[in-house]
Amino acid sequence: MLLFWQLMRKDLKQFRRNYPGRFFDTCFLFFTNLVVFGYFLPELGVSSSYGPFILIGAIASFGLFDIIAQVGELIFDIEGDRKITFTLSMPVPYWVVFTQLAIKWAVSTLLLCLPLFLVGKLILWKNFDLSQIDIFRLFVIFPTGCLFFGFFSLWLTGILKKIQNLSSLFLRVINPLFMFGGYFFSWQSSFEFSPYIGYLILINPMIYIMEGMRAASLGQEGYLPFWSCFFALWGFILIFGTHAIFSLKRRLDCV
Amino acid sequence: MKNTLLELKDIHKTYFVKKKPIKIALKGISFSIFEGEIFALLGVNGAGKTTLSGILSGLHPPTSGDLLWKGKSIYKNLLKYKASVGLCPQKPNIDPDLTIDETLIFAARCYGRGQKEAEKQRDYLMELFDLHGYENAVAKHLSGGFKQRFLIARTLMHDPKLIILDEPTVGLDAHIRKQLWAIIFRLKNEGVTILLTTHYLEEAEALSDRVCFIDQGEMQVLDTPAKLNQHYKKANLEEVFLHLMEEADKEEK
Repeated sequence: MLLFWQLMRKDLKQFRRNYPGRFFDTCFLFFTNLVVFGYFLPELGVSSSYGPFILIGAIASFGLFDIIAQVGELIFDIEGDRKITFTLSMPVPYWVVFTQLAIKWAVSTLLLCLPLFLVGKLILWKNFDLSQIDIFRLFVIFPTGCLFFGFFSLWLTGILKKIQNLSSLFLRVINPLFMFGGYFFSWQSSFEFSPYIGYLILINPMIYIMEGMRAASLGQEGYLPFWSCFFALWGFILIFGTHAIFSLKRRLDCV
Repeated sequence: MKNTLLELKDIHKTYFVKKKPIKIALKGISFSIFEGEIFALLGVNGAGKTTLSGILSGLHPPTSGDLLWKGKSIYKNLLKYKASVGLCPQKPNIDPDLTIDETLIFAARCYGRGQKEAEKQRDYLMELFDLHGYENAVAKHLSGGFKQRFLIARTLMHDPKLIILDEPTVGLDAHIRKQLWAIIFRLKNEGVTILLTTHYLEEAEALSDRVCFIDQGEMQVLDTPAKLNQHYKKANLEEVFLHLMEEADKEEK
């Protein structure tokens, strides 16, 4: 536990140094999305409630795009200097080292995205009502979603053979998860369009992050039940997390 | 009577891809390392030195065989064994954005040392490795020689009983190599047991109490440099090494 805390402290210290630059980049991506979906599209006839809908989706899905950076960083390290070897040589089980990596990524995504609620309020102003947010539910689902991204990144690192495959990772994994993950639509609308598609979309973990976050921030009506999203996400975390730890153990040939 | 610190018993290592063996890296290595000695592992690139040091540091498992630490298998309490060992890898695996001070303190705290104890050890090692004035330097900005000294200092922050130096002087100029030799001697004088892997034979001859030649995963010879020179009637280890390589080539043909 002590070693786990020391590793977190060290990583957060490095994260704090890079925070301003990364937060600016996040805000920039967020701003471009919100301006288009919150102001341009309503002018073209899309409902004005689409702005807050996209705002929550953007906050919830940021971690998905951060996966590329996280997976790239770890594969680059494994193929290069192997900083991870230093941690693995310490008196700590390998699964603690891998779990700490996933939690570190989750915490950094959380710290980058949490202030985006205020940035979103500043951009959308009257169109986004902060009083609708159920703080308890948000503080349950948001870290859970970030944890999912952390363990999912770890899983992808375990299965990705080399760094050159990162572009395929985006095209084959990240983009489909994003497009069919409910960023642009709610699960209910996909179900109304076609129940088969609705059920098929339920295998995408992103839908539970999107729906859970929107249920917590915009009200339950029109979204999948909040607690179902929460438990489904924990199921995915356990499945991807366990597999990630075993595949990384095999890849790094740990004792 | 020398006390055995670490005993390798018939260590084999085979790498598999999809359960098919693709490379036999170690073929039954057995030897003992005594307390307080400098033990050198020699061999050409690909001989199995780094694989063996990975196994000795507790990072990788052998395919078969056992490692005994003071008579007990390390795999019965691997974490305790890891706490007694320090690995200084071939590649400088340093957190690039942390300062020397932060890295050294972190290295000690991770092994359960208190803040004051860590600071004391840091001050001692900064002095020993002549790193004063670089406390706040970011690791990525250090030159090769400083980086290597810093890496060894980091390895020593938890006061290990055995340190594994994997090619510590590779790529460094002669002057810095000699400085590192002096540090290695000083560590030996302080009672630290050192396992040194190198392909610089002059370095092994100057530093080691005993040397072990490995070729294609097999142990060829193990003795003191002086006895090996005497046995093969050669002037130095380099000539012994060349002789052994020629013998191995003849056997292969």
